[in-house]
Amino acid sequence: MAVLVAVLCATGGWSAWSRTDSHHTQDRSAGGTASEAGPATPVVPARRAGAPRSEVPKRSILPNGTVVPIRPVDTAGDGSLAVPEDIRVAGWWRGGARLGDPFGSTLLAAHVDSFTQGLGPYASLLSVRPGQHITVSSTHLTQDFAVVSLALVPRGTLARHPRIFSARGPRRLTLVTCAGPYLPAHGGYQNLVVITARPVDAVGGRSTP
Amino acid sequence: MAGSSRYLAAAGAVAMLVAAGVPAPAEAGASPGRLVIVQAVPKDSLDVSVDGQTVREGAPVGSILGPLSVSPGRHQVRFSDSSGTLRLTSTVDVASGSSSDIVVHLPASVGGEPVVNAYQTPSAPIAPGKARVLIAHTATVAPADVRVDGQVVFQDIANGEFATADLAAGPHTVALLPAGLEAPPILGPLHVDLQARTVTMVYAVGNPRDHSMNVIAHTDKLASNGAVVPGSIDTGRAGLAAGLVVHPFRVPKSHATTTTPAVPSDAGPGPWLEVTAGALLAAGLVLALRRRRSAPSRSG
Repeated sequence: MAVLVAVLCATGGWSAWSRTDSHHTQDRSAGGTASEAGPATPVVPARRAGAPRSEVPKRSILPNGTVVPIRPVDTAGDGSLAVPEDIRVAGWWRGGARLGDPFGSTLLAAHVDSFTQGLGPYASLLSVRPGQHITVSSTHLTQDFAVVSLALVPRGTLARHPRIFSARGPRRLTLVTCAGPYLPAHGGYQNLVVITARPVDAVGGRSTP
Repeated sequence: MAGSSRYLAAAGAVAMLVAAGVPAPAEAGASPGRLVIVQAVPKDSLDVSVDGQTVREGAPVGSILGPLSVSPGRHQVRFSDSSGTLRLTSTVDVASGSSSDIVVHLPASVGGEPVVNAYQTPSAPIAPGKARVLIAHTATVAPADVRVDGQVVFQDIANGEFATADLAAGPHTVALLPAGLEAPPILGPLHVDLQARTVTMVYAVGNPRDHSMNVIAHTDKLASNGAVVPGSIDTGRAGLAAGLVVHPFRVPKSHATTTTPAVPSDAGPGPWLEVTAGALLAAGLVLALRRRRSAPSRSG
């Protein structure tokens, strides 16, 4: 496979290189040290730093305290998101941002109700208020989000609202469920409720994995 | 030698996309591993060999050699300069099907001897509309933060360490700053345009004290994770929520209690590095492959 190569130049040319600078810098290099004509040194795999490894979200806590498990979902053959049949479980679109990603939307969707299970936990989101918190956790991470908006989006107009899915833009949690009016002759619920929440703090490690 | 050659000569590395077959035929059943060797030692011009076979003589800083297809198992990578002052022999354990960059670079301390690190390509399949970056600190400078589009995305990366993240495909600005500080940047902001379903390995090299900071980067393709943007979401059947009154709202940005973590986001491209953007464009670099994200258009 072809590897594309780019050498990018910053302020100076290569001729400006210097190793005689007297500035001392911290050295916590993880690399194998060079030695003149020394024996072969095993190459050290570089250490990962800078940010926690992103993870698939597994669990959420809604503002009313209800714990809602999350499982990854795909898009079905008919183009619709394959939301879990069980109304107590939310689906995370696996094309979206994971917990720990620096940008983009983490989309969670759950049924508001079903004929057999009644109203689900996501029904409580229809009356969510600004600033209320939603906690999302994964195997090793957890993060709190605060609600900043609630919008009604007519069903069938999803393509006009790319922010619900997009990897672009600020880090956010997007919760989706159905809302009235309910017109059985016209496919049932006519609207989606789209709730956006923004991170309250940096993603952190879980105290109880 | 190489120290006197301008970087554009190093950019000639593009021409070095030899899939140089290194001997050792893969054993039956075991798929080979891939090695890319990155020469990130400023001023030096290095001879590079793998298992005793010369890959390149006199490779200047910025050289990207490979990908080399090697059999699983232990291999020896040797770097030396013509004067004989540098002889560095490293062993690399290659796993079947793996892909790594072997990078020879200077440590953070001025005057330190070169070190060799392995950076495994983060090659997991990626979601639609995204691109992955791996940014490694291989420069003569203290630990740094990486800002993407003005936001601190990676904190406190020391020499030899790396960070990686998936970003939206498309244009971004990337800057390296002293850890915990907002200015002045060690490097950048660089304007990069990331193509969907690619991974870009970026190595920061040089020394900010003498304004010699540069990056060496190469890009590879990734597999899709198969996710498809949904055209519709159906999340209710029974009409039990029909009577629940919904009041839409939006918290004005200035009143939002939340921001993304640790980000005074003031970052426009700094005027001091327009030079950089110019250099990038002039070099016609691959990172700038512009491709608009395909907008989801299916509706259901």
